[in-house]
Amino acid sequence: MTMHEEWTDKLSEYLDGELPDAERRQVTAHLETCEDCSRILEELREVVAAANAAPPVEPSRDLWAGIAERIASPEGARPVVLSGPWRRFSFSLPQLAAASVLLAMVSGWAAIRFMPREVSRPPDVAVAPPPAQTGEVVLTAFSSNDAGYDAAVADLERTLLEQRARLDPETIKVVEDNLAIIDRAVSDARQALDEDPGNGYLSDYLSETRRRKLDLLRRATSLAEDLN
Amino acid sequence: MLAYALILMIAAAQTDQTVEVRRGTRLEVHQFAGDVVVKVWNRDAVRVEAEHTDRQSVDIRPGDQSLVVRGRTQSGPSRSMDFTITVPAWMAVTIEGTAADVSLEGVGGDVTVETNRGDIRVRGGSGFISLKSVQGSIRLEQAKGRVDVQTVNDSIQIADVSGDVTAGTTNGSIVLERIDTSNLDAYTVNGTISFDGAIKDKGSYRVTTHNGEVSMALPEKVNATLRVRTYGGSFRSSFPVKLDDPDRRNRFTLTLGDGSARVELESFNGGIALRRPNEPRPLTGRERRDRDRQRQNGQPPPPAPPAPPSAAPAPAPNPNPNPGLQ
Repeated sequence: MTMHEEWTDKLSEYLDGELPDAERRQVTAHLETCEDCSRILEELREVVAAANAAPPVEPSRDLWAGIAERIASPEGARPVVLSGPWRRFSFSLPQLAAASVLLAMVSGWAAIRFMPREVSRPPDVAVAPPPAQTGEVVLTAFSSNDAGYDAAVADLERTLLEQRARLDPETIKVVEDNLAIIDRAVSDARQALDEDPGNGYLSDYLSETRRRKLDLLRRATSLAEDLN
Repeated sequence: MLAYALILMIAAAQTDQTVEVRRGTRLEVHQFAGDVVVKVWNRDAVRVEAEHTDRQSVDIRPGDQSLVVRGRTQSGPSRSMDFTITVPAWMAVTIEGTAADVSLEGVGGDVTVETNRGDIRVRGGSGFISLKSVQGSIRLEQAKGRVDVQTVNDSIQIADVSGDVTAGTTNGSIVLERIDTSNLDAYTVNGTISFDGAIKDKGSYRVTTHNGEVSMALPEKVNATLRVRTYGGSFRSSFPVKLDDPDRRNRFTLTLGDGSARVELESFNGGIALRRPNEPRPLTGRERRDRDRQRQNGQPPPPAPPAPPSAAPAPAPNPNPNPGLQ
């Protein structure tokens, strides 16, 4: 990795506000003197802005039925994970399409650098590979028995259990109470989705509510680690 | 009794130290428990005052880029210590605590506060403002910049703030008043959310809860596409609106003006309400409980939340009880 790549590697997290303060200040200072990085940051901003500005369109029931078939197919079992620095953004179908077109226009180097990467954390949102016949980009959500999500929750719960002694009982109770609140929300969403499997809103909502649980678990484990 | 008082006097100690700082220096405070109060003055110096026992000490370490203040307990378990710290208005401030109540008044730089158990109150701040608690409420006022406010088991209030705003909790309400932002993300699982502020062209606004009402104040002239989504709740508006698809009562899009801004309002089990900026916001759960308690005690109820000042006249009463679905 070159020195310059070290800077560009941080731009996406910088845009997302996820860099620690010290690194953020370093990147800000670097941007003032580096035209290349400033240009790439601007391109990233444009991609995100264009994706956010795309008109919202709810997928039809027919489309969701197709998605269900593709999830069940071997191709559908190989999702591309939108995660890491992109995890705060939630894209609808047309937004993803707009983003994909804009991404293609961004320089090849930047595309390689900033395409979403596979990471060890579980998928928040997955994009099924485009079917060969239509080339359409399809947004899918967690299936109700998403093994990746369950495994991630189990991992974090195990970590939290191991570090439980570092947290005071009151904090443990608060975390557990709030996890239970989110669990009830997940249960509500799952039940509603079971009753209306083609409902895109419910599918998105279930994904997002599950992500909230992962976020809280991560925060709780981080708290325990900080107290070490 | 006299002996006890004497022991207390002997055991008590005080720190009062002032350190000159260069412009650009950051203050870092590491505190186990107790109050941390930060205020400003017009000197390029930091004054640290602390009340503590003689088994405790205050470690003040000036560095090239930061001044680090840390409360220490020399033997036995860590104990609470209260700090009052006076800083230059330009100074960036970072405070980390386990059970610390934190209050900052008038600060002008970056602000980062993270506490496990404790309330956070900040008036001021510019640049990057990150406030995090687990068991504590957070109130931020008169700040500008990129704002990230997170708690878990309590409420959030943000007022008179400009810049990108992210506010999240799990079990608590969120009140956003007089917010000037193009980019808002506010979410809770168990609580109401109300927003009152500018809706800017091409802005992005996302307000989400699971149990509780979402209430948004919309000025008469606004260019926004509203995506309203609820499962078990309903939609209401204090002014007439025309839905793009009147057949869909729980999930629909509403275009106002040229639809430039993107506004997503979502509550799984609660209602979604639109109002004008000069109408009072709904009470939060805590405010309702306080009102009910006071009524039970025979006290007069607290006044309704103040409506922000507005030159616009109050809307005429609407004869349609559910005008959004007309």
